Amino acid sequence: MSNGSFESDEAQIAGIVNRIMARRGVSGPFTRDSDLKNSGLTSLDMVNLMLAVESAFGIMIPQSAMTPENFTSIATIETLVSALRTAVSPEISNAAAHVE
Amino acid sequence: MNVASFIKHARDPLREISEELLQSMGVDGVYARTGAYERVIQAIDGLITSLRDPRAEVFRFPPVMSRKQLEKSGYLGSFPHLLGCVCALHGSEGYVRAAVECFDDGGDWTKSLSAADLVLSPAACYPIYPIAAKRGPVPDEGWLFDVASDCFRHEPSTDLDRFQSFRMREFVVIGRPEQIRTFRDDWMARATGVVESLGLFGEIAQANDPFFGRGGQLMATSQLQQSLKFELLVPIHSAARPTACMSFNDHRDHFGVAWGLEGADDQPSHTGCVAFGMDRIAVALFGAHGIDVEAWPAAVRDTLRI
Repeated sequence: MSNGSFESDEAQIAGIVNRIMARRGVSGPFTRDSDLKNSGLTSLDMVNLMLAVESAFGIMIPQSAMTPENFTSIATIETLVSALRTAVSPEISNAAAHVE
Repeated sequence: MNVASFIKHARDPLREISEELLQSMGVDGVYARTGAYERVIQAIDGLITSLRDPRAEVFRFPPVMSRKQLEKSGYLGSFPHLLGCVCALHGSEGYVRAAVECFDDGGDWTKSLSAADLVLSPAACYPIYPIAAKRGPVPDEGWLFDVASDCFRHEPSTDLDRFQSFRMREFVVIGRPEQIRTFRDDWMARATGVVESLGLFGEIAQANDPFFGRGGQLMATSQLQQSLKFELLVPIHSAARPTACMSFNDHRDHFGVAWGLEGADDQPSHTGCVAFGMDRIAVALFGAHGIDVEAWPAAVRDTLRI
């Protein structure tokens, strides 16, 4: 039986963004497509955002993907997370197939 | 050409510099400087002064600065791995004596150290921002400063173009974004002419700072994309591995926000700087022209007035 709580990736990312921006005294809400840099996100904030996303989703963002373009909005971050999960999941699928 | 002459000319010029002009002090990247070397440093200093805008306000800083001020400037978020922090034996006489006795017994007395309220300045400009901020609103014409200090960055190396303790001089501008852009563009336009007058080859290139860690890659990319940093590269080791002897930096509103620097419009002021790596320029000169200043090209000696 599920515990009934499930937070979407978008909501999780929005939560991280809100916390980081709040530290800078900038309050939301931020839409999915809000330009975070124009909203006050600094380069250092972007690094903290990247690290928080890695921790929240259990992923490691490769150097090739560490570009400001991937952190311009909640939408771009969600796309990045989804892409990295897709890159990992074929290996998980293969491993599961071998066990069976 | 006889054999002795051939050997003389075949010697590594950088090795000659380290043997004749600098003395190791037992730690990589830290050198005692001879009078002959310092004579050139003073000449470079004089040249930079001759290039200075007469409106610039001069400050000379000691080699240390307030740790709290550097923290407030955001240095730890970018370059924590380069910072040197002054530590001391705080506490009672008994505590201090115990540390000394630990040393006398062959133990590690440094475990008794704790951070003082000072750090070794990593760049010459950091102390100027709180000084400027205390003045109130930035005037419409902006502020221009000439600053210098001995600086420290924790990067031990035997390369002669990477000292841990080195002299930096900067011209710093505080004002509107367009004032910073104009200031930087003007200096970038004149810099290659300045190094050419020293008989050196220099090339301006876009650059990024050595930000710390994996996240540093993101900051470096952002810095490059926004063209916030340029360097004047001079081939000290080789053309393939040139050395940054000057940098031209647009800080945008980073220090304006950190220090509450605002113009009459209540918007955070922008800042920028042109930095001269005095020791790198000196090493480049000795490397290019030899260790005997009397034998340097006359034009170079005229430029430096030595």
